[in-house]
Amino acid sequence: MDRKHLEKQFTDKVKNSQGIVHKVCHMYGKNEDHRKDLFQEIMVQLWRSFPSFRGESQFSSWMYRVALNVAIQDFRKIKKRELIFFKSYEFMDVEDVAYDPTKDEQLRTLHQAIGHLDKLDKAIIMLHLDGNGNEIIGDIVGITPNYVRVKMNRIKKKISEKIKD
Amino acid sequence: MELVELKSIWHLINADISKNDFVEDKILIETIHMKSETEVGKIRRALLFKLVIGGLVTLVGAALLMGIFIAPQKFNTLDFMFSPKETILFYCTLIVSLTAMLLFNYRAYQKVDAAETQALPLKKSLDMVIEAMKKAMNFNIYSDAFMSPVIITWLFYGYAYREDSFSWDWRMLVLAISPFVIGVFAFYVQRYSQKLKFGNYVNKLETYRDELLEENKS
Repeated sequence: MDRKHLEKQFTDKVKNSQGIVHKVCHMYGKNEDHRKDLFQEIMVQLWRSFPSFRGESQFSSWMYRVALNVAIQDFRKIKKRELIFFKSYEFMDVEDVAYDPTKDEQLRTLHQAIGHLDKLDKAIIMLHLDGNGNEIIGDIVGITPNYVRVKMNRIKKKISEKIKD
Repeated sequence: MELVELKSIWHLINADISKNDFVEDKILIETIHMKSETEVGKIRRALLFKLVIGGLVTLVGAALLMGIFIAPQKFNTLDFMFSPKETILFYCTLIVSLTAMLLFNYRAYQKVDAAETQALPLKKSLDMVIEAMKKAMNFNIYSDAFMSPVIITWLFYGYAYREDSFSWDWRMLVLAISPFVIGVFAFYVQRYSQKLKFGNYVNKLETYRDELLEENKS
């Protein structure tokens, strides 16, 4: 298959499911630059891994795996590199002041509740909030559904403790 | 706050993402052709660089070696240092050492490349990346510890005996000791350098991997 054809196939598949990547970026990005950088990095890795997608799992599960692997294994210092997109629309920064008040409040609440969790817990809660069952979460994370349940209970406890504080 | 409340906020944010954050095909294509800046990407590129340079040097060395056999006077490019026999021996050592190094280099490269391009579950991916990073780091350490003495000892030999033939004196003692000393020195310098570059990264990945191994304890 030639490159152009593969690119077309890739973009056709990814463009409708790109919300997954944006959600991961919102979850793991420390600020706007980091989120944009993460988006680009995830896209690069999705493209590099695309030949390994054989349709054995759902495309969304495959995307989650790649996106979360990049986000969890990313410890780079945030530095500005050429960012070629989002010129018209800027991600909202939780550390910034000027927000759309409604969205600002929603993001703030969300980050207050789960911002303190470690990277793996964030992955599990994100998959849970997205409506995935323990089976699918276990499949993406690589642990048993039973252990997902254990992890979820611990995460819920951490969240309620944080909210109380 | 209950999870139900978080879920409703999450849905609102998702709706907003679909409305505002989605990018067009053209931008997606531009994005996928950018260079990866991850640690794994960096170490993969470093291995590829060594593979290409090592491959080229081996090919040039092999061509010169063949040239010496065909026309010794014309192709003895190191005649200011070595006799034709010594040059042949030097090239043979270089080619054998580099070929062995390239073989290990290629295996480490394959491992790192696979870790990057296989969409594995998080736990397996962490295992694979940790293993690939350690393999690549070890390759960098041992290849330097092996190649540095080979090249430096040969260069010292060429310089020390440039005016007279081989004889048993202090130079011989230096020749006998230097590979060991240079090898040990190169090993520690490279080990320190690799730890500095990638040690913290691998440690952090191991922490996450161990957290997922907790399953066995609970």
